[in-house]
Amino acid sequence: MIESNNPEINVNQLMERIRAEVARRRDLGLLQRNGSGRAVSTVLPQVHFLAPLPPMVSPRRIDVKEERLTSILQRAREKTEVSKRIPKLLRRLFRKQGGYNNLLLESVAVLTRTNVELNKRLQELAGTFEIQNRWLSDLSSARDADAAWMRAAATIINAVKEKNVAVGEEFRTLRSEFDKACEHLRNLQAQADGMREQEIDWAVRATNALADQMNVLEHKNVAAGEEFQVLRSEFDRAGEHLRNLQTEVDRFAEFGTRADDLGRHLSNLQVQTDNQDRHLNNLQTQADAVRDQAAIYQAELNHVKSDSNDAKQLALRADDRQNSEGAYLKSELHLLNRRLMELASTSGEGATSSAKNAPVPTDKHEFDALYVAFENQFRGSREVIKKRVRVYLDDVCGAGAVTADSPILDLGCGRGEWLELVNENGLAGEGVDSNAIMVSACQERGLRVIEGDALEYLRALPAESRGAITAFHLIEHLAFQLLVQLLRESFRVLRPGGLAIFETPNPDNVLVGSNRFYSDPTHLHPLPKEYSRFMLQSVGFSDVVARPLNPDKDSLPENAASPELRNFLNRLFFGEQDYAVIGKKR
Amino acid sequence: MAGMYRLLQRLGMEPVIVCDWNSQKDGFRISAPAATDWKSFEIIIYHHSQYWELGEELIHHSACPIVFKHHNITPARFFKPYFEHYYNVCAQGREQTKVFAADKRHAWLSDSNFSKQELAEDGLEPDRIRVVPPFNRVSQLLQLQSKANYNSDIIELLFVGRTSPNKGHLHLLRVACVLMSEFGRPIKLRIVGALDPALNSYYDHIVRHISDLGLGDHAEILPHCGDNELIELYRRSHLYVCLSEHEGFNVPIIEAQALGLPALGAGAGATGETAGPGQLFSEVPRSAEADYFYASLIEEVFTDKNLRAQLTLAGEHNVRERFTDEVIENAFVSAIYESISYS
Repeated sequence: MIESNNPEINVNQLMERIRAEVARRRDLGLLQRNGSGRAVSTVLPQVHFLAPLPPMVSPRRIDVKEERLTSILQRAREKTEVSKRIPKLLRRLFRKQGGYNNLLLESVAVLTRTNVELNKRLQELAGTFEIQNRWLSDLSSARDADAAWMRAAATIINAVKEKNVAVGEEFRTLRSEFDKACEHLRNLQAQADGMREQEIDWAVRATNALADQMNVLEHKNVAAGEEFQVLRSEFDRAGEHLRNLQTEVDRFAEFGTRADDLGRHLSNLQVQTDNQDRHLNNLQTQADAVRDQAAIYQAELNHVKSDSNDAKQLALRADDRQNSEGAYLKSELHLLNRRLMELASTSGEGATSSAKNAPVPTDKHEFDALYVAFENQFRGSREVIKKRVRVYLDDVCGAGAVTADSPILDLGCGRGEWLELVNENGLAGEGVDSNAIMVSACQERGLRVIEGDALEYLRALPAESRGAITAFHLIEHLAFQLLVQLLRESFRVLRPGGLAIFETPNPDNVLVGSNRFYSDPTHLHPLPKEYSRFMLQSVGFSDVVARPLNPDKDSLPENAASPELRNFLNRLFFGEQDYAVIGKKR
Repeated sequence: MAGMYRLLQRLGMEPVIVCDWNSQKDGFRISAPAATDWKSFEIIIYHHSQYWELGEELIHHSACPIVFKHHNITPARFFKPYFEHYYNVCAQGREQTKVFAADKRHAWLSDSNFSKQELAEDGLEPDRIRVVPPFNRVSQLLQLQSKANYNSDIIELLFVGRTSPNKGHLHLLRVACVLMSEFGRPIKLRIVGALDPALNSYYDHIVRHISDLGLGDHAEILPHCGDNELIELYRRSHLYVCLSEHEGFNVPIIEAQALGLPALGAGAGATGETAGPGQLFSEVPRSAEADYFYASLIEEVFTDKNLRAQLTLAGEHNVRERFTDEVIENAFVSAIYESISYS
């Protein structure tokens, strides 16, 4: 199986890019008409090199023994010569025929040896001619191959020439588009500079407005706190009154029991003696008095009930007012209420009365409410976030490591959207968050969430005890050392086969990396994908991928630039706003 | 068919194959229609892939539940220029689908969601149709690995499919031509698929096209390729390219994916659905632009090893998740059970 640690390539974007390139070539008239082209091979035939011409064999000189033959002929002639003094008719008888014949034989022998030598030379020459013939034949083949090569080369040269013209045209067009793009980029830069100044101006004004708003809210908060204390005091008084009433009611019940006893006693007395009527009348009077007293108590009870209803109405009105003062104030009150409850539980009954003296929130939770308000403003609604994180369900289910004994642990679970989704899909999940208000809200939704520091919580967990660990928009809040410790602890706590998923803003999107990232004052610095992948790999995670997510819905207008430049700028400014780095523990 | 037969046997049933071509084959009980006692069956699985004149008679006289296994019928228009008889058989087959669909007692199995959609357009209610991919051999092929060498200068392309006009052979040849002429990329295109003598005129058309495009040395048709030889071709090729214009499923795509061969092409019919997510299947109308588009895709995959690795991984995942024996057998048994319940 092939392993791939490379960032995922978006095949749809790839096809879109190729479509744009095809359209561009069509517009430039660079596409062949359907079926009009022919395949031109750019591969030239192989060049065959001819072997060097074999060395020429020069036949050795043949010694034809000319002198010797001349000498023999001379001697033979001499043998045949007869003195002129002998008559012509007899001269034939005086010729030395034997010597002549011997010389003749000798000459024949010399000629024969010469002939043999000649034959040898002829054979050598024939061999040489054969080698040369073969070489000439190779030369002919090579000439044919060269001709074919040159024909193929000519075709390719023509094709290259045509392409060269087309490329030149294309280059000129590209150059023109590039110049236009540069101009456009310069304009954009100028606009961006302008926008940045406006943004700074806006930010200053917004900060001032926020400070004003904070002051108003603080006043309202103080007023609401005082009102709450008044209400609390009313409740305490009503409770005290109710307790007193209960005591009276108990006494009344005791009285009633006693009256019953008296009744029974009277009945007995009635049966036993008729002359005790007077005593009975007295008892009757006493019983009437008791009934009157009961009626008084009943009236008083009704009055108390009415007071209680009034108190409830007052509480409802206060609640309405609380709601109308917005999420921020509500969160603060929630925190205040929680602190009161904590004080009540730690100090006993007296604690409620000392609520007025409750300490101001400790530093640890000082900004909890502000951060909740911030999340509500900038993070997106619960529904939106729940829809976005749904993408991870397949990853977690696919890994198959999550069970009831090894649940998903969500670090910095915030409002608990992911945990809610996890529970809805039948998976076990738990969360940890340092924001007391968010933790409380999660618990009210029935989610298994505890308040605490994510790293401390991880350290306290046994090794290999969780099936998946997730953290959405958490790691960009951590300094380097803390991040390393968090990743190491996550790796330790995950069981083999478990997944770690960390989602964070994507600085590949220039607007995210340079601007929106800093909307959250607790962010430290953007984390490039390659950095996050390296960090996960360095602590031991396998199959680490960085997956871009949540592309911006905005894009440049159709006519803003050429398709290539527009795609480039869209990717740069309106690409995926987040990414998740995902690793597996083998 | 064989996979289905053996599964039914393993489940303790006694299947009988009834067909016009009564060629006996070891391990299978085969019967001719005339010699078949239709009333002896408890369930009939009717493979509907073209018009069959006995079909309607069988439906009317059967007493047991019938499950139609629908193999997408190629639209008749593809055969019009080449063979009138096939044109008629396919057109009548599609008409017969409507007749069968009107009998609401019976349930249907389709190869893909695309085929299911087509059936729905022919009048079938969607809740009568279950999607069960065809039985195949990818579970065995997953044991093997690709041997392709991507350091080569020549791209070796493979297409597998019978020589039928809906398979996009001519388009594939034009794309090969663009790869050579526009991208300067030497290629070797192998087209594997049985020849049908009735479609000789189409085959001649392909051969002419090869010649006209100057692809004589670069494209070859392999009509008589055995199973083992085909597997070796899958393993040594660089890319599987399918530019079919109509497919009800296309088994070669998943065979290529099982053997680690990246696949790409036109997403016509069910091909994109079969190839699964994250694959390079996109339908572009036949044109010079389409030729250039697919040639660019091929060049991109051949030269980008990360993209290749991603496609290969996604392809293998697709096959393991959706098309292994276990998955398809479970789907088939569940579908048959539900279908009988429906009937």
